[in-house]
Amino acid sequence: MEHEQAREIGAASEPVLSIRDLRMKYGDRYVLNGIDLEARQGQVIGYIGPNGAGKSTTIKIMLGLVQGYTGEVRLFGQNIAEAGPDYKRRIGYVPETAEMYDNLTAREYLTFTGELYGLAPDLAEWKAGLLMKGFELGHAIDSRIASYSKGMKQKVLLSSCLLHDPDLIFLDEPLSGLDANSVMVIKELLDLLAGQGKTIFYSSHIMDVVEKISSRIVLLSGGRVAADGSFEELRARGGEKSLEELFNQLTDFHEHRQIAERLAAAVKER
Amino acid sequence: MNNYRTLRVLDRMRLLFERMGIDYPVMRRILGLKLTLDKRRTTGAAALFRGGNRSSDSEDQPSEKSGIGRTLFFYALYGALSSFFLLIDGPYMIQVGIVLAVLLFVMMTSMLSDFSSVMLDVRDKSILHTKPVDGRTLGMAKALHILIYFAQFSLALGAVPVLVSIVRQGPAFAGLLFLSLVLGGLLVAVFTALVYLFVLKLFDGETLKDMINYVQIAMTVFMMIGYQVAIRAMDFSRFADGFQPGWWELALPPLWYSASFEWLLNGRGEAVYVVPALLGLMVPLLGAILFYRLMPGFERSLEKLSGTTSRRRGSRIKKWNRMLATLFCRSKEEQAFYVFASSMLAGEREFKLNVYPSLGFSIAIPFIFLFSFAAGSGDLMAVDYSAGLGYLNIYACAIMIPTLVMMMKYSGGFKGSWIYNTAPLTNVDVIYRGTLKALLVRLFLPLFLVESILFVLLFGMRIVPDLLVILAASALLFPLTLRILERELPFSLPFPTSSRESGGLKMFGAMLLLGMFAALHYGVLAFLPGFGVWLLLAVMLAGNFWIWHGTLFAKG
Repeated sequence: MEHEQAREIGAASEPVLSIRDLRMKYGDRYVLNGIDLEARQGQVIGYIGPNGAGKSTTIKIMLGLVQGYTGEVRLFGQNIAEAGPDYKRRIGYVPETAEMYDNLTAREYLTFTGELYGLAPDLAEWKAGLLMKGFELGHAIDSRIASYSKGMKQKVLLSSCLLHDPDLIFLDEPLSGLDANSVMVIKELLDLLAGQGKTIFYSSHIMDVVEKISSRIVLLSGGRVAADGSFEELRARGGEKSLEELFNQLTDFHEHRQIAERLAAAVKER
Repeated sequence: MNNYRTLRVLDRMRLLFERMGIDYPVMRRILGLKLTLDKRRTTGAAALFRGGNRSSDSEDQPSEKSGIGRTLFFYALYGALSSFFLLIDGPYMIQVGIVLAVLLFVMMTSMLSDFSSVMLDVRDKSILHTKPVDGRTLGMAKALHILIYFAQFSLALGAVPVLVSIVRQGPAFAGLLFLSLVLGGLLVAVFTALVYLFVLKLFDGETLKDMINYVQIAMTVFMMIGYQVAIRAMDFSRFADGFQPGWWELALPPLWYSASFEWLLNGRGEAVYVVPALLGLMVPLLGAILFYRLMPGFERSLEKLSGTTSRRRGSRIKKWNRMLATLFCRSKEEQAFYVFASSMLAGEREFKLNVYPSLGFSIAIPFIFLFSFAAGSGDLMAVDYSAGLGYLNIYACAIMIPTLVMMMKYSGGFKGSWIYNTAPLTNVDVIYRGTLKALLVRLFLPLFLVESILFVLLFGMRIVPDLLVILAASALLFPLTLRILERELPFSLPFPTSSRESGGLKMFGAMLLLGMFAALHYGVLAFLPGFGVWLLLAVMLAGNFWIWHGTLFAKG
């Protein structure tokens, strides 16, 4: 298979991403307590963890959005603290909240972001059209983004993330607001992109999806990597059935029943 | 939230409402909520005087003072101003006609701007209609809300004129004036509602939002310029006598009501007075009935306001703008930001609301200065067009520049600014340069050209070199203002909710700089006539080259 080939090539080559002993402190509190991580071409990495585990912070550090960390972050072999912003050209990013300049039309927004990544205006606009049509939004490309539904906005963000053909893709909850059919399209798309040799960092709270699409799962808890490996490997280690149960076990969370009972009791209160 | 005076008045009619089958406590609760929301919202007229805007999504504590109370105060002020017309002599037809024309105009514009948020509130659908509240209660709450809003507003506007007329024209006149205002207001409300209905039926929600936006802008410009002009044109004595109305005035609603004054108070029973007076009574009432009938359809088309609409922006304009970008910007990134900023300027309603009024004002202000300085007489003929320096007043046109530069850091979609950081930008200067150039080319240049053509028509071709100097000085002012003000990335902050963020002293510094340019220009013309202008032009161009591309611009 073509995908398998790409993965093999990736495994043999330089890591696309390598993080060593990454620590980050907000005030007195460490959000990242020494993270070590490597990723290679063609990997789809499910990046999971409870709220506040430091997922978004790691991604933001790699994008250069957050300064003041200690440790080393190397992307494409370059230390990002020393490299200029050029490495960002090879990165695509979908942020968790769908914030855009939404009084622009999708065409205007996508052309602009494409240009920021160094595409010629005509090429950016042409690709924007292709991607929007691909997402079945060709009819809405000249409407203000403000008038879009949540799923449509998400598709615009995905388009702007992919427009410049990045090698490393960070997706923060990329399926939010998408309908079941679109979710299937995106799952397939991620698989194909990985087959092209792209590295995909996928962060989500929906365990079923992570379980299905990831070739590797990294679980973050309390600012540390609590587990790292393929789903099968993790399952062999933990002896649990689903990723959701694994997640509960690894993050040491067992009170869900009690909490739910408390809430149910509060509902009946009068 | 539940202790408004209006609500306490309603409490006395509780039985009446309950007899109508309305769930009174629920209705009262909804009304209380709506009135609280009104209090925290600032729109139209009041926004102008805060030098700010009507942003509603602030994270600050909502200040109750800056809401509807303030708006009402300014409407009372308009009412007071218009009552001056009651003091001039003349037939009722003219006197009352002018007062009502002014008041109804203010009502009309504010209806279209302020009132729209009450009538077009789509949140009702998802918040209230999903709760177990029956339709009749909701309908009554909405109707009462509109009624309360409208009553507050007409009272504020009409209070002073009615009081003045009691003293000057007597209680009968005052009573008729009051009645006219109520009926006229109803007419305006019905008319506005029917306009909305019409627009929503034929077009889409985006068009309506754009229309409301432009009405708000027009209203602000009208008031800014209106004050200046009204002070200079308070001479209505020529209407004083020998006025005979014709049938054409049936088209002017204010005259319907002034005709009733002639009919009822002066006893003139001719058809030319009676017919308009009856129209003034019948049209608003029939309109209200018509609207009541169409109301369900209206509620349905409100859906459109939250829907998706596809509207194409002209591709020819886009090509043209892309060409300008390559003409004015050197690097590719700068061009990208130029085009981006142009679309932001064109597409952001709140930006337009904040900035366009000052653009309109900058067109008018050179003329206002010109006439004010014209030998004190305000006579156009007194200006020395063939040799004088009066054209230097066109410098006043550039007072929009500090506002433009200050406003460029704001956007309703400011959270989208993460894109600046994730993009591989080597030099943030391109962001500023591209945006400033977009402001210069898209907003300042067209207005300056219009102004220049008008001034050339007045003063002749001899001022063309001076106009070039003024253009160069204005272009210089953009980066200089940015250096004076604190530098924030364009479109990266929410619109401020209060005027204290408008950077008063620094703005003044930028204005002072403009004054210095004008003074320099004046000095050069006075002491170095002839070639001096060309010398100054060379200096200004060199300055532009230095500031826009040099190191001075790079470090803020």
